Amino acid sequence: MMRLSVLIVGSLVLSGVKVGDKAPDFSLKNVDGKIVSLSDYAKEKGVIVIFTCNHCPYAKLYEERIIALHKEFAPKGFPVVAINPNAPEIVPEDSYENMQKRAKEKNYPFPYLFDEKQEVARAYGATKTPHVFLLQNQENGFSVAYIGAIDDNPNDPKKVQKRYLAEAIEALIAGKPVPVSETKAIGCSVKYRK
Amino acid sequence: MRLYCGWLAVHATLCLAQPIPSYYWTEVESRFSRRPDTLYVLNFWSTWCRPCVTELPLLQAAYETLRVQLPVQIWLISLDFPPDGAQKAYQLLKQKRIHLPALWLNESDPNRWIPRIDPTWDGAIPYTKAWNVPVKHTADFSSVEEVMAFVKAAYDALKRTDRR
Repeated sequence: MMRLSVLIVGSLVLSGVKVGDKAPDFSLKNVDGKIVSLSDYAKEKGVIVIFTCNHCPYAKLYEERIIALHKEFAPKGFPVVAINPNAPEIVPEDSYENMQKRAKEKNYPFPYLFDEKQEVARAYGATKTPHVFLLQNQENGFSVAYIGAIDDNPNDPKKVQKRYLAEAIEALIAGKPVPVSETKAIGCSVKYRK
Repeated sequence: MRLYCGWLAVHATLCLAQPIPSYYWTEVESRFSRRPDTLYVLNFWSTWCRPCVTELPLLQAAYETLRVQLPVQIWLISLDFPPDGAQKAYQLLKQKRIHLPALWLNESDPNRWIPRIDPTWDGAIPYTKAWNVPVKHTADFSSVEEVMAFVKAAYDALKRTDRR
């Protein structure tokens, strides 16, 4: 008989959410000092929650694309909310002050929240940066509609063939099922406190 | 620069004068399916991933101890970006004096290959997996002993698979 069990040695086990689950609420401090909550978005069709950070080369590669996604989809009811889940004592570049600097330099048109206690990242099951959770606003609140990558080519935006996230949002807007609801992406591991 | 890594190489570090090879995923699969009696441990890493770079010496030290006990090979699979990913990985390994076998994965979309090694791996690195054995480590290793325990657990699982 095939052994189906997988032995995971010494890893951090995160439960997190699955597609279809209710989206965990959050209230976190933005780079402007104000608190931003998921419930603030009750009038939107959905929210693009992206766990990202300052230091990770993958996150940097996607910075411009995340700004473009917000500009494309916020007017259609799907704004971006970026959340930095990293512990700054592990990666100083991801401190709140450095988040403020980065948001200013890049002129982020969306909130960039600091998940200081890492509770939101744990609740969602964010394992890496960038890690996308697309939320859909339904009658009974926000639910998770898509988890994974932004697109299929981190290195070269010009060579992207599949815009996984954009296609998921467009499907939601059109009232159709999300074509691919989970994708894989390489990324920097979230720097959780042990 | 290219130097031969066979009988001409008198020292392991000389082998590293040859930049690491580029593989498509299908080539990875055929490479590691050749010898079912050997345990292949695949470590997915990148030069820009700090915990990955930190654990390289631990992997090497564990291998140096275990190689005389078990038929094991620890392979470093670089996920550095094209076009110069293989070169970057090679430079770092040379600088850190890591002489574990290495290759550079020439794939842009992880959705094409990650599900083939482990559908539950979401792509965070470092990630270490025993080939054809359901034993994996989804965080960085913090000690040589931890790597050794992982390799031994994987080898035990491989032996169990053999008997079946």
